[in-house]
Amino acid sequence: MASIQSLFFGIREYLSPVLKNSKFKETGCITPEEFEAAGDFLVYKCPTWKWESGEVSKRRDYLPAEKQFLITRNVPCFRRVKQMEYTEEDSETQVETEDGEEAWVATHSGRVAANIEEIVQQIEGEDDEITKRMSSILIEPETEKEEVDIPDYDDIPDIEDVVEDDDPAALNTTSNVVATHDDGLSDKILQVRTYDVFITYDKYYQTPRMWLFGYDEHRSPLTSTQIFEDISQDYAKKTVTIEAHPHLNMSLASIHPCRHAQVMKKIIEKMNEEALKKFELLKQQYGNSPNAPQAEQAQVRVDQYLIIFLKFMSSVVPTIDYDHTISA
Amino acid sequence: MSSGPLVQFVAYSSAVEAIFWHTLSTRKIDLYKLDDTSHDILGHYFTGHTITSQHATEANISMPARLCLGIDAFDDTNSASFSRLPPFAYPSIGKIKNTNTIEDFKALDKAALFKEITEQIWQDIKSGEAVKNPYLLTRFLLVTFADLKKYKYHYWFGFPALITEPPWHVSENGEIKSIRDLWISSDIESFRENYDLFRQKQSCANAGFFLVKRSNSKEMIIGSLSEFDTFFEGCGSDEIVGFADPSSLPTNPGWPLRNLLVLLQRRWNIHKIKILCYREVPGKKDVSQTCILTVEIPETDTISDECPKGLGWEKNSQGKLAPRSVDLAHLMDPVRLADTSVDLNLKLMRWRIVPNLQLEKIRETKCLLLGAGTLGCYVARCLLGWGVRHITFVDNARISFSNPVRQPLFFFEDSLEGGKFKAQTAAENLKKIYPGSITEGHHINIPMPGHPVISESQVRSDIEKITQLIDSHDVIFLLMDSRESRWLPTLLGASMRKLVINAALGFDTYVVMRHGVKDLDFTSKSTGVSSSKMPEIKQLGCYFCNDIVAPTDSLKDRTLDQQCTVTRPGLSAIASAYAVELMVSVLHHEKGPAAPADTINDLSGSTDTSTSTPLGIIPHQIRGFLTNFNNMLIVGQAYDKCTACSDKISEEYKTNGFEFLKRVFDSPTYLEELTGLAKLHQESEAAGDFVWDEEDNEL
Repeated sequence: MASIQSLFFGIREYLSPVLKNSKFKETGCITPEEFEAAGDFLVYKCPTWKWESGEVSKRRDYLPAEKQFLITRNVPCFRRVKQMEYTEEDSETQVETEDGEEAWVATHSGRVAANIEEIVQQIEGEDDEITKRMSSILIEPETEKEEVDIPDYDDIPDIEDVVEDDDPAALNTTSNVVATHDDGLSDKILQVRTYDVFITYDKYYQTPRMWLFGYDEHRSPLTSTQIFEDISQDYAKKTVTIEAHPHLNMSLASIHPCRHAQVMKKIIEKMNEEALKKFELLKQQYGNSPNAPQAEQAQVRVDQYLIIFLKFMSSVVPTIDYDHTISA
Repeated sequence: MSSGPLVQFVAYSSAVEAIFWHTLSTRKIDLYKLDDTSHDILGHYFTGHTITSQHATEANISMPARLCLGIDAFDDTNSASFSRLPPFAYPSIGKIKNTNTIEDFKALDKAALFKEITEQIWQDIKSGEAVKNPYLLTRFLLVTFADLKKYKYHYWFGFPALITEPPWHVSENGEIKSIRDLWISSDIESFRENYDLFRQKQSCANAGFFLVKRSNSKEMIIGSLSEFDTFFEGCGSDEIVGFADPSSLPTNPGWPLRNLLVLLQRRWNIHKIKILCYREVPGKKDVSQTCILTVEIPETDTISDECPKGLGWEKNSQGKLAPRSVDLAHLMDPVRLADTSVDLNLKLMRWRIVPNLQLEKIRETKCLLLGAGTLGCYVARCLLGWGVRHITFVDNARISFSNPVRQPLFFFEDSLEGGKFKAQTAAENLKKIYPGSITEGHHINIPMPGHPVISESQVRSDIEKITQLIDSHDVIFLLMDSRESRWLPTLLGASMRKLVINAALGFDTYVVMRHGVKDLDFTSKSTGVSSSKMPEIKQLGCYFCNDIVAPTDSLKDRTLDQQCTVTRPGLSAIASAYAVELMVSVLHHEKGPAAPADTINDLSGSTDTSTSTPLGIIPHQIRGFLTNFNNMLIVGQAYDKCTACSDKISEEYKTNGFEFLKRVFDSPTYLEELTGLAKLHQESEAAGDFVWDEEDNEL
């Protein structure tokens, strides 16, 4: 069944024509060309992201060979989602999601809308509201040290042929706190979870698609259950799937793109509305001056798509600190 | 002599991408095979920097100084290939030694390999090669054993650092400080810009080690190590040697500085030097976390040519000098991948359509399939589709030439040489379809009423096996081709309160039903049937409840077309699918096998949304007629004179056990006597208004 289904999806992807006209504002979808442009913009603005080519045999011809997908590696993830608590009424709505289909859809879209507000505000960068909200996120301190899952070395008896003298010049990093400053803050080397984050282009949904590959504190790959701990409860187990990466011989967790276009369309609409309002204000100020801004300049450009997408995704994986900030 | 503290360096932490292990596996299988000579690999590291996470409460979070191996690690390791490194990464070349066996891994002379790398570094320092290509200072060693069957990788990194004796100390007033505290912002900016240009020119390969000086025009000038002899001319005391520092601790420099200091001392007889630990926030044009410290060692007269000792084996996660290991089975083992994919497909149903679907419960359900023919094969495949792992087959036949076309677990080969046993072959082939299934086949004759016992010991052992199998499973499917073979499992299933699902075929009709069990919580108020028009039903009937004759040898005196189940070929798939879906629905009812029956004979009755389970209603019997392509849902009450599930029978079975069964097998009319059916016959015959007729088929 599974193979037939994936075969079906394979064919479906092949047949679906590459969209040539930019409809991203109307549909929330982008074409491969637009994906490439948005990817270039992302790499330019956030250079920890990188284009990769992946497996030669898995290359898609609608993207340049060296620009098949985007990746950023070793992104730290300090906390689990359950350790983050929003001061909003989120918890309430989350309970409701256990009900039937209707309730879930309703709450879900409500939640997304809330996120869109956040995202728009963040991207607009024009108010402190979001900063306030961010600071109102409570982080539970790690009260008890989690039982560290010590790998089992039983099948490797102590190897005694390597004996090293004490090396006084090597810093002992196993004792966590290394130095304490005058202000009482300590420098630590934190062993934390890290993620490799991938963005591929999904031809069927015509949206980007995010993939996550996580490593635990000891650099062992995370299981899907562990990865779910880093995904907002609204999404984990609902739209997160473990699937074969389209360009690598690996299975990864992925945020399923079935609702991406819809959400992106809403976000972009909101942003454009805001921009239009600002534009109208400006126009009044400028009057008939030739320097008056043009309406198009205020609109979201398609090459900004991935930056917006990453903002959206950061509400899905709120504790994974990948770079999506546009700075000077 | 300095009075400052010892310089303590932050060691590397290895960070191997899972895709690296995957690549190692494919190369081992396709390329190296048994060849276990070492190969060059390309690693990389980044500069460290502390992070202020928006979600972290502590300030100054330092990440480990990572030495990374990625997908490209095995490609060429010449400097031209460095361009494919991630942005802001610095190259580090290493040697990988992958052993063929765990014993080889244990026995490997690791110290010798480590010494080899140490000596290479020393040679490069002495020859000046490390001045031209300072990235050679960061050579490393990786010894591995890849357990390709278990997808487990044992590995141990060595990052050789040449030991300086006596060690380097921090100079007086030379303690490590951020350049923010030492330089004015225009210096920092000038340094950043010029370093960026320098790095572009060096195309990263040798940008990890460099020289820094302040020009007369107050610019910060960057130069490569090979310019050392002339670079600092006339700039007085402000000679700075810089390196890309993987350490993120504001208090300590990273590992690459150790071999750099050896180079500086050996090559240019340096005993005191200002060191710049270059640290950037990638892509943010922020180098403000860069640090500067001054280090020194006492001057010595003699310079030895002998290679110093090297240190730097990576410790494991427990801080011991021992290998690390990583288990990638859940990512790479195809069987495990099939497992998660099957579950994933099912979970998609839960997203929107049936959020309350109890997939775990279905998955854990143990199913016993009595009969591995057409029905058995289809039922098994359908169960696999639902993610059921535990499927056991019972059959007494061999695969004949006519079977494979109708029985989707068999192939032509299986029918050769007299044919393989059906039950075992079905299990074997099921495993081929889905290796995660827990399945076995049992070649057993199910004793039947009207089939007299010939070998008592054989029958005893068959009964024992069947009893044990029914006991150890949750759902019993009756999928045999005769009605009397269903009698014993019906009796046993009822006495053990199992969910029994029964499917039987006529030529173009079928019945799929579940056997009722007594609802132990039953009160007269709770109705056994959802529809209030229906009479109250205490317990749903079994396959035999509608019968007023005991099952007997139905194959005797029949022509061939009556004996075999001659059916329309699609019928079996339909009935099997209904049987499995019925099971899944029942599993979703809190009462399980005792769940009351629903009927919706009113076709427009879809307005009733309050169904018994998230999947809809649970019928008792589905009778289908292919001539009209329709189904009827029928509810039948348990019959107190039933020859299989009535109290009288189970009491008799409990009391007399095998003796009772044997008597039934020899003479099925005993069942009629026992249950009172015989009396009923006499009465009705006497009344003369009762005609019963054995049905043609099994229905």
